[in-house]
Amino acid sequence: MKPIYIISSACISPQHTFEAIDFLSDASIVNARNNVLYCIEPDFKQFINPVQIRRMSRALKIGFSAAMKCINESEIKEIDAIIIGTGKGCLEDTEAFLHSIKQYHESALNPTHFIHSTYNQLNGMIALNKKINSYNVTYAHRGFSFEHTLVDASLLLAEGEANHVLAGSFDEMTLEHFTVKKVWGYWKVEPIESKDLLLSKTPGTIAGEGSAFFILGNQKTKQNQAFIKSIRTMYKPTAEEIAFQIDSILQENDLLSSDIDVLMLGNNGNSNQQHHDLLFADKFLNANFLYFKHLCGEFDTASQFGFWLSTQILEKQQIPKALYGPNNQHKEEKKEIKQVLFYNNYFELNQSLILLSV
Amino acid sequence: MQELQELKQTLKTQIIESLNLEGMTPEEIDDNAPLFGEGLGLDSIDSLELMVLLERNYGIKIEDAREGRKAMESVNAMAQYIADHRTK
Repeated sequence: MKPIYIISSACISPQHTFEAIDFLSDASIVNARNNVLYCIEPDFKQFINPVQIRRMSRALKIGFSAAMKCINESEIKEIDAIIIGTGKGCLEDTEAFLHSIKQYHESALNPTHFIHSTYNQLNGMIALNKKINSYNVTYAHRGFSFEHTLVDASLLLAEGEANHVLAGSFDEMTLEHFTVKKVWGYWKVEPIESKDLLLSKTPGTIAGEGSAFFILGNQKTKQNQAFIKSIRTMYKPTAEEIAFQIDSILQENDLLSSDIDVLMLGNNGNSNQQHHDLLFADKFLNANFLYFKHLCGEFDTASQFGFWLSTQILEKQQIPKALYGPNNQHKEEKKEIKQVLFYNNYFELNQSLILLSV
Repeated sequence: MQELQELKQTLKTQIIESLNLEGMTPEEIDDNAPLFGEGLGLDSIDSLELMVLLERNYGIKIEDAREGRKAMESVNAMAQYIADHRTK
């Protein structure tokens, strides 16, 4: 595939990723409380006007602010497409709308909750605000939602239908959604600290939320943070299929497994899930193994956070200690980090591999 | 007369709550000021929210758009319309 250049990015997460004062220093790390990690909210009024803000739910404010910061910090003046992924959309509005359907027997329903419960609400708000009247698509593909925004962007950029794309994703966690998924066994029964998540031997994981946006382009610019070389999505793959796709990515880019400097892994500490530790350990002897879900929690578009971290590591040439795995195991730091292979595993269903470089 | 005055107070609180007019108090809403355009500066989605408010709280269903526009001109107009048409 043709390279996709990442020109700017912004990320709102449960960690201090939005203000960019430091890059996940140990002292700044936020731990999960009651097995949930909620976003650190910036001052939304910096990005949203008072008339709009009164109607917006948390997820919309988070997504909109991340998108605005990403656009504002980019040198790009013309965006040709808006592509956003979300697993569940604005859950708070959806829940409020469903409750009022029940409470008022399907009559006298609030229009605001209905409008905002639609998945593409954020796309529309960004388009109206920035007057971008072109390609505008929302992917609501559960654990593939974020990856599909990248795939779509790569096709548009490769075919020359767009030169610059705003791509990103958002998802929020509500108490009600957390409770429903707890009943289904998605979360750990016992409270667990973020730092212990990856060592856990019990089923379930911790919940999270967040939003990340990227301006992607088909030409290298001075502002480039990194570029995407390959993307693969796999539905319920076996270990052999994952190994096959890794080999295929390496071959496609004329790389050896020893060329990979960093592996960014989406392990979530769920003992019921295969994390393929052995597969990666056997294949990548030289790479440092990094993890991100103990810092953002698990959600449909959690891969956005790991992907954003990967771009930051490549741009800053720096690895925060908080990303090293259990027992802080890491190999000798390399002089230069050139290749990052990102792997996400969403409850064994949706899995993806993305190769990034600088 | 006093009943209408109390109704206006309640209505203002309900408007603030249903339209999420953060930081605004009932005292800041002028009884005679237009709700849309100037005055409170509400928009078309707000008008739908106000129709939901009337239906849920006072059992009033406005079917005619022109009648709705008149009924929602100001707090005074809304309170009078509620007093004349309420079913609960």
